Amino acid sequence: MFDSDIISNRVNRRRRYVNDLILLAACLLISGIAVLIIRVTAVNGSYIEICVLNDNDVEEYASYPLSDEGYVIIAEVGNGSYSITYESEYDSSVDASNVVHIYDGKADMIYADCPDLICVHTKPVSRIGESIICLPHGVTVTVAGDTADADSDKYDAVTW
Amino acid sequence: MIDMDIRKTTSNVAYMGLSLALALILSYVESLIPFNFGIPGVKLGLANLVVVILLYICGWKEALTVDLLRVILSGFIFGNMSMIIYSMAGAALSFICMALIYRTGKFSPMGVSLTGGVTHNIGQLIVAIIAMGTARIIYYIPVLIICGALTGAVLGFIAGEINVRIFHRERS
Repeated sequence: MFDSDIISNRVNRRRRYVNDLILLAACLLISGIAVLIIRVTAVNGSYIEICVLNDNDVEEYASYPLSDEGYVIIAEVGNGSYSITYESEYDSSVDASNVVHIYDGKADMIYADCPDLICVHTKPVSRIGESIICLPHGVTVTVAGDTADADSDKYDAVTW
Repeated sequence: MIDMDIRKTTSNVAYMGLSLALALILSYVESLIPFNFGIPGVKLGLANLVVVILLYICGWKEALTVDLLRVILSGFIFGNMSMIIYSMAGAALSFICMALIYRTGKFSPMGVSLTGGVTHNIGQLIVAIIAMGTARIIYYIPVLIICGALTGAVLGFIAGEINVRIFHRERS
């Protein structure tokens, strides 16, 4: 092989790496723009849907308007089943597994007795489709546009 | 000349058989690793490694054959019908894009594989939107693009190194 061939190959190789980096940057840019568009076009929801999966695979379900301030208390009532109750005041001495605070059109998980506390650390949700999930207790808190959305949202996990 | 053609065909058939077997093993390995970034639908895409290598050492026809066969076979062995449809959409879209990017000759295996990773996720998301009848999951797209780009780039780098070190191809 001639020296010039080696040099031109080296130049081409470098150019390809530069192109690769441009491609990677383009991907990051597109996802950044997508995030921006999603943020800007996001619509605030008007209802919060709370779903608890009991140990016998039966779902306990409740829906509350985001416009009223209040607390949703999820408590274990024995035999691995849970109850969902709505209170206007939160009494921290009550034995609850999860407590969701609804205020200013937002919902926030303020208390959970699960070990990882991922749900408590999740930021308050207010836009349609946003959710807080507490995996250890099988609790999902999802923002919906209206109550009619409730059943159309149950994705089949198998299809993923 | 004819002798060379036959030799080339024979070696391609051997490579294809070997790659298909390896792709199936990698699909199996992937199904064992609970590695999903906490996001549904995001996978490593190990089998794509084989497709990228084959694209470079045999050609697009051979790579396409192995890609489609591994989707159908791994779907029947490890998954179900809906998994085949999802994988097929991802594999078809990513293969078309990878072949086009490869043909321009302006990208290294890393760029080719990166394109494959991103478009594979986009293809699956399109099927998911059609299947679920909701466009709401389009919110996943930024995360799917970034994950696809990163896993694709890493696998593409590995594919490039394998081409150089094992198949003694010129570094491209």
